[in-house]
Amino acid sequence: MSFLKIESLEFKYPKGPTILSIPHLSLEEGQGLFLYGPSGHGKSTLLNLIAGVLAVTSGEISIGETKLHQLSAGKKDKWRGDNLGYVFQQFNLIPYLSIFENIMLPCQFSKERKLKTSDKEIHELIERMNLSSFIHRPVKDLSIGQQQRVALCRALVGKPKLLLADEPTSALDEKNTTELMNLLKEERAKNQLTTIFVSHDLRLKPYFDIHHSLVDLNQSKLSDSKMEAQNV
Amino acid sequence: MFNFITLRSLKNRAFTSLLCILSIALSVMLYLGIQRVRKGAEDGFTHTISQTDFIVGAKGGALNLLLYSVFHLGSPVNNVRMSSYEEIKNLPGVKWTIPMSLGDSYKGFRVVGTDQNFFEHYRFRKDKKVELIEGQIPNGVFDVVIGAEVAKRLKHKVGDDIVLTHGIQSEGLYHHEKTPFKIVGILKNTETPIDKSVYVTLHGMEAMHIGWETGVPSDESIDPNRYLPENLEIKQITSFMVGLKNRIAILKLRRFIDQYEAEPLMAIIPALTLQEMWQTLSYVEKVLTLVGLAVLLVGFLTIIIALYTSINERRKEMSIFRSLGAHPWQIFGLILYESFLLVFFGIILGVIFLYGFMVGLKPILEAEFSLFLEITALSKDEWSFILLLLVIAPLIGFIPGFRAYKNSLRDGLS
Ligand SMILES: Nc1ncnc2c1ncn2[C@@H]1O[C@H](COP(=O)(O)OP(=O)(O)O)[C@@H](O)[C@H]1O
Ligand SMILES: [Mg+2]
Repeated sequence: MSFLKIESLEFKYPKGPTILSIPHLSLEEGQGLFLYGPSGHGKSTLLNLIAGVLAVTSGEISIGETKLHQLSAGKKDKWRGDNLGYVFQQFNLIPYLSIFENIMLPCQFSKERKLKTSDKEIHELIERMNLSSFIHRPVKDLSIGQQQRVALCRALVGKPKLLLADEPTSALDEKNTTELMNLLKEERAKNQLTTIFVSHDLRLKPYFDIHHSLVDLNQSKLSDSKMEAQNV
Repeated sequence: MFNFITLRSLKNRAFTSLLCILSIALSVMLYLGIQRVRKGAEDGFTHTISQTDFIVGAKGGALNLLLYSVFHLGSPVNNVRMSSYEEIKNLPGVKWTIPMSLGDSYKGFRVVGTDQNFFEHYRFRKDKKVELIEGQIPNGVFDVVIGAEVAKRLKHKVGDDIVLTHGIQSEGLYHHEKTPFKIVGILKNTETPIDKSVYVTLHGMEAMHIGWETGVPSDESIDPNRYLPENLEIKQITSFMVGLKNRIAILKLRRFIDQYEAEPLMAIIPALTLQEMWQTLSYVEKVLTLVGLAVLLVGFLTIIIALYTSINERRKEMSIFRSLGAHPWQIFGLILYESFLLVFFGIILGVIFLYGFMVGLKPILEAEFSLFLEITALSKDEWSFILLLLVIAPLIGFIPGFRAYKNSLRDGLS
């Protein structure tokens, strides 16, 4: 029984052409999927679908026991808050909150997340991310590498079941990238955390068990001819 | 759960937040302040006289009788015979009466001839008595007691001799030079027309007019014996106030006076006539209330505009909240809560302003406008007004909140 299962997924934005058409994709619990492909091909869109922010045009997405395509918008929001960690290319920290408050945000929106964790665990996590000495500082005092570590830390608070990462290293230099990837690897191993990691940086492949190119997965004609034409 | 996010977010936009809070505070202060001034003016007006059941005078206009008897404005058309006064005074239901004899002045202030009943029974502002800060009430024929304002403006002291003027024009032609009066007392400030009046006995009133039968002073000298109280005969007064033993007798007694046979008299109930008079002034009250509400509306609009413009800058922030599991409804709620907090802090500041200004302006209002504002705790009406604002407060977040809600549905995560 796979943890994440996508069947006959079709998606288009309102008024737009079909962007994604994925017949089948599955992932076991604890596995890490590395998803790559050139920009504009719908990688972020796919993550948005898996996060339940966008709704599939047709097809099915199930994660664990949850059939995401059957949930109402409100239930999807709750499910996302309870089960999902999300890291972005931009770090998406709230500038007027302190580092600690940023890290604790998921617990503000999800009671379940709050209950699943303890102060001790959170402080250990912060310790492992090398952020202990910054937690009461404003976001703007941090370097870029530190900011992305805060974002990762926030995504991991409260033990999410699934981590989605959308090009989290593309703003980082090599040293910071390596540091972040190693931290991520440790945390994943520790918690058996199922992960989907999107990037166009193929050097990161070795950190993950499964590798897919979205261009191969996607049967949408758009991904071949039209998009290619657009990008040239 | 929004608590710390909202507070931080408002603090992050401190300048606009402060402007919003300030505009609500000013509106609240103005609205409540206007209401208090209005209430103070009404109370000051309707409480000029209390506990008096009737004012009786010659038949004429009710308003006119009230104006000359209580506010010392205008003049009577006719007098009341002493015999009529004595008869009504001795009716079984009557508890007390205060006779008043008007028509003279002193440097623009009205002279009132009365007796000790005035000092004993007259009440204003519910149960306040006329009191002396110095000296005693007039007893001798040429004793005079002056109101607080008179004493202050003319810098008179107990023991001063003064000469009263015939008639009520501020520049009267004839003065009662042969009959100077001695100030025996100064009244305590009352914030009523009493402060601008001068009180003598009915005997004094009679005495100074001896030899004035033609309306002008005669040149002949007057036998000093005629000034002795036992030789002075009081034939008429201008009007009088009546207090009853039992209010139930009001209608019966009023009918008796209105149909009095010996001469045409009328009785007015001052509380009612004052209320009627205030009603005719009520458009002022309405205008003031409207001004207060308009200011409040501006305050609310400020918040709507400020929040609405902030929504666009905060699109990113909202989409981050969504990625962390916030419902679009929670985003909506966040904005509603912000507007609630802005109004909430605005109200608190506004009430502080209100009391600050009341403490600061009290002496000026009393001195310049005779407006007596008691610094009291918030009244029930004021609490309901504040409660109403707190209910409206989140509602004004609806427009910007809905905008944020729609944005957050449209924007994915990125
Ligand atoms: N909100 C949107 N509305 C309409 N079209 C969109 C929206 N977001 C992305 N797209 C389009 O969908 C396609 C895939 O975009 P995206 O998923 O961001 O690709 P990637 O993440 O691989 O760069 C692009 O052609 C983009 O223009
Ligand atoms: Mg993308």
